[in-house]
Amino acid sequence: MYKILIVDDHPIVVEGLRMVLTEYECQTASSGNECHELLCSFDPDLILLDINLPDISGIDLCKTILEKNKRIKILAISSYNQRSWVTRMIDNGAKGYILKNATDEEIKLAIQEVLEGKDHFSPEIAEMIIKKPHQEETFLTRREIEILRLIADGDTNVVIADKLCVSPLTVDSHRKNLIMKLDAKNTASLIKIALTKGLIEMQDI
Amino acid sequence: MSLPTNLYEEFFMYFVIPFKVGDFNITSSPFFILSLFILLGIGFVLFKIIDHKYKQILILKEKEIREQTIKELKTDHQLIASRAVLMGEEKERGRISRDLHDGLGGRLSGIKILLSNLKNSITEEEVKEKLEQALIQLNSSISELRMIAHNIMPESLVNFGLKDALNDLCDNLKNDKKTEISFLFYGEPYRFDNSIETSFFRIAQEAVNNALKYSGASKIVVQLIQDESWVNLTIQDNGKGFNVEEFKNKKAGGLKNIRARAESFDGRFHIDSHPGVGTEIIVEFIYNTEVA
Repeated sequence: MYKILIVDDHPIVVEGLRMVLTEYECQTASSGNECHELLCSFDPDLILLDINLPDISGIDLCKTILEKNKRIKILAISSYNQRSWVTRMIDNGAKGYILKNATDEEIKLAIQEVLEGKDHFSPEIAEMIIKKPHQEETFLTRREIEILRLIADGDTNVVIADKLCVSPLTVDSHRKNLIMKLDAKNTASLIKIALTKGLIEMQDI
Repeated sequence: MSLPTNLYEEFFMYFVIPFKVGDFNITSSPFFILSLFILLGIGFVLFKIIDHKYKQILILKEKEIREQTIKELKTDHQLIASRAVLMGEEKERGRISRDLHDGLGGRLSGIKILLSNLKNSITEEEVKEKLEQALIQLNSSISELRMIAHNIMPESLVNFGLKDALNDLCDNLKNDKKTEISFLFYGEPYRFDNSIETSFFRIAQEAVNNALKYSGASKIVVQLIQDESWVNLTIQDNGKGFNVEEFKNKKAGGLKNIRARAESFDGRFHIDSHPGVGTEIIVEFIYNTEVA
């Protein structure tokens, strides 16, 4: 029989989960410390890990658990459904992520799949991860294009700042950002790259 | 003494004779006159130096006073802007309070009625049906509560910072199929003053919502650039644009909020809009504090 450790500091949630997981041997912990204690004595196969714990974030706890024992499978269960939490849990080694509004069946399925070594995500989460946008290669805002043209014209930071009614510091920052965005070595190659990529045209200069 | 008849005698008379004699007449000695001139010269130079220094101190003091005045004007300006932000927030609180009362409050009352009616249900069918309904209502209430809480203070902002919060914001708003909302980030996601991070977030929220509501744009881009001392937020859309001058005079509204927020933390705010091209809103802030 597989051993599952439930780490969550909400007693009602814990009880609810226990009732669902009758076919497994379960123990519970309500803090990161308790979890570490039970890691040694209980030696679970899977950990149902909540992110909001009183003494440590589930994200960090996930990492420390896996550092101690690589074989353990971690299934995150949380009410946070945003990318920032999900990606961090996955980065730290979680094999699955389900939301707290999941049904009994979903929870059981998730545990099953993760125990088998597969990944499992709530449909909502899966949809979000798959849709991960490929950051558009070279997108310049209208302001950046404006500045690029003025730079190509040979205007200095001060002149550009004057024309656009901003501070020279701002123009300089935009210049540095353009160089970074277009992966240029310096201002001169910046213009060349911009022309090559069709971001500005010869007649603009 | 007879008048000198030639240069030699002149020389003798004025430079040599006075010294030769015992009664050394200082007052007519050329050395005396020379030293007098030298002293006068030194005195003159000293006077010039002291005068210059005095003028320098004056200039410095004037500069201090000018800077002080500018500082005070800036503070006043910021205070006015802060007040505007606070007023906006009070309004927002009113809205949330109404939402909670009407929406969530109503739903929870409905659930209570469903559950208390269970006592009167005779058949198992009725009980099951009522429980189903109650569960559905409960689920919706939880979702709505989360949404309201999230609007009050997005947790990803507090925990992870502006980059993640904006990413999540664009994710959440993406449900409108007609408009493409992208988030772009360049640089390093440094943390800075929490209240200013929040202001930036609110500005982005306001700007994107405005674009969604009024611009009819097919594409909205939210771009965040950060390096160790500078943060730049740009919201650009390809919608129908509007007349910036017209809106400058309005007393209230989303744009006024954005401007007020930017000014409350001494950030730079710039808006550009052309009919047929779209709108671009840029907010910048230079933070000298170190990485949080």
